[in-house]
Amino acid sequence: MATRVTIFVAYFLVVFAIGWLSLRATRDERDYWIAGGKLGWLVGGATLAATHVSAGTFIGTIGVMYTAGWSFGWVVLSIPLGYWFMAAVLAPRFTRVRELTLPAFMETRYYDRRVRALAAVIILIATVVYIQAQIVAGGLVANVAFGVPVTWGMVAFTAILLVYTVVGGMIAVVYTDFFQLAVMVLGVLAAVPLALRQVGGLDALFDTVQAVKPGVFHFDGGLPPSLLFTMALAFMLGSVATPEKLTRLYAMRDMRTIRRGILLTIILATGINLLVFILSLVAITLFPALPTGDLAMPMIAQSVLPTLVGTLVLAAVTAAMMSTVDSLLIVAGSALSHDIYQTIIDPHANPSTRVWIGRAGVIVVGCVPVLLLLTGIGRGELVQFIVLLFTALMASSFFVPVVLGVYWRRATREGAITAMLGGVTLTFLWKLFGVPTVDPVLPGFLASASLMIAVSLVTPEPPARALEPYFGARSN
Amino acid sequence: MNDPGFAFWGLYLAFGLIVAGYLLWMWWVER
Repeated sequence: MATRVTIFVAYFLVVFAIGWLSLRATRDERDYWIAGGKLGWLVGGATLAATHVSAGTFIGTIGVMYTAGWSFGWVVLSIPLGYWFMAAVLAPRFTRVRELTLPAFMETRYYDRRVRALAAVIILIATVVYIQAQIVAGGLVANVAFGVPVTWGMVAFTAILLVYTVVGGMIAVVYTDFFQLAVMVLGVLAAVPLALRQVGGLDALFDTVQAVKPGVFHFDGGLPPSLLFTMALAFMLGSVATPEKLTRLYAMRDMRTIRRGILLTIILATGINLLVFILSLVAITLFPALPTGDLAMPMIAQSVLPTLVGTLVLAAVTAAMMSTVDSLLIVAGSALSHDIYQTIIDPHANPSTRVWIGRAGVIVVGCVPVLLLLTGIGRGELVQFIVLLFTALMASSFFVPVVLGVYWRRATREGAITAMLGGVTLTFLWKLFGVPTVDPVLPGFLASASLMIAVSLVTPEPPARALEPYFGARSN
Repeated sequence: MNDPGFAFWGLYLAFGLIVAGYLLWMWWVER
C-alpha cells in the first residue's frame, strides 16, 4: 500500500506542479484555450494521443474485447485512418483561420451566431455524458487501488482534475497530457511482457485463450459484423470531428507541425490500443468469468502483476482518464464561457476578465457531471459504449458541417443547423429505439449529410465574407 | 482466417502498413 500511495502522490504532485507553472504562462484567452497556438509536433502530437486514449481504452476496450473477442481489434485500425484524413484533407483548410473553439469556426463559416450557440450547447450536453463515463472509471480505479468507495474516488479525481485545469488552462492540459502519456506508455510497456510471462508466453496464450473461449479469434465469434463496421465508422469520424481534437489543430504551429504531430498520435494512440489487446487475452485466460468486462483491467493490475507494475498500470489508467477529461473540460468550459457567455451575454469583458470567466466556466462544467452521478444519473453501461455514444453524437453533428464547410462553397447556415439537429436527434433515437447491431453513428451521419446537402441547395447561397477565409486564394 | 497467429499478427501488420503509408504520404507532400 505504501508503494501505491507514494507513486500516486508523486504523480499528482507532478501534475499540480505543471498546473502551477502554466498559471504563470497564461496571459490571455488564446493561451488559456489553445495554449497560444504555438505547440510543436512532439507536445502537440502527444496531447492529441493522450486525449484520444481514455479510460475507454484501458477499461472499455479491454472490456469489449474480453466480451466479444479479437474481431473488435480490427475496429481500432479506423483510428489511424481517421487521423490521416484529418492531416491530409481537413487540417489544411480548417486551420486557415485560427479560431479558439469549434463553435467559433461554426459562426465564421456559417455567418450566424445561432449556429455557434447551437454547436456550443451540443458540445456541453455530450461532454457531460462523456466526462461521467470517464470519472466512473476513475472511481473504479480508486476503488481497486485504495479500497475507497467508488463515489469518493470520483469526487477526488474531479477535484484533482479541476485544480490544474482551472488554474493552467490548455497550457497545463497539454503539458500534463505529455507527462500522462509517458505514464501510459510506461505502464503498458511494463505490463504486457510481465502478463505474458504469467501465462507462459504468446503461443501458450493462444492455446489457453482458445480453450477457454473457442471463438475468440473468429470474425463471427463476438459482435455482429454490422456493428463492427459501424463502430469503426464511429471511431473514424470521431477521430476527426470531436471538438477536443479539432482545437488541437489550432493549438499546433503550422501544417508541417500538424503532419508530424498526427504521425506521433497515430503511432501512440493506436499502438497503446494494440498493446492493451494482449492484456484482454490474458484476462480471458486467467479470469474467464468476470461479471463485467470493465473489471478485466483492474483485475490484471491487482492480481497478475507485481505491486510496482500493477500500480503503474493503475496510474496509466488514471492518466488515460485524466488526460481525456481535462481536454473535455477545456472544450466544454470554452463552449460555456467563450462561446455562450462572452459572445452572447457579455461581449465586452477585458482580456484578463475573460480568462477568469473561462476558469469559472471550467469549474461549472467540471462539477455538473459528478453532481449528476451523485444523484444517480448516468451510471450503468460499459464504459466503451458510452465513449462510442459520445463519438457518435459528435460525428453526426460536426463531421459534415466541418468537412463540407471547408470544401463545399454551397454549404449554408440553414444546412448546418439542420444537419447538426438532425444528426443528434437521429443518433439519440437510434440509440433508444434502433437496431442494436448497427451503431447509431451510421443513421446519424447519413441524416446529417443528407440534410446538409438538401437544405443547403434550397436555401440562399452563403455570403462572400463567410467563404473568403476558407476558399480565398491563399496557399497554406 | 480463424488461425490465431493470422488474426493476431495480421492486425499488427496492417497497422504497420498504415504507418508506412502515412510516412510515404508525408514525404510526398513535403518533398
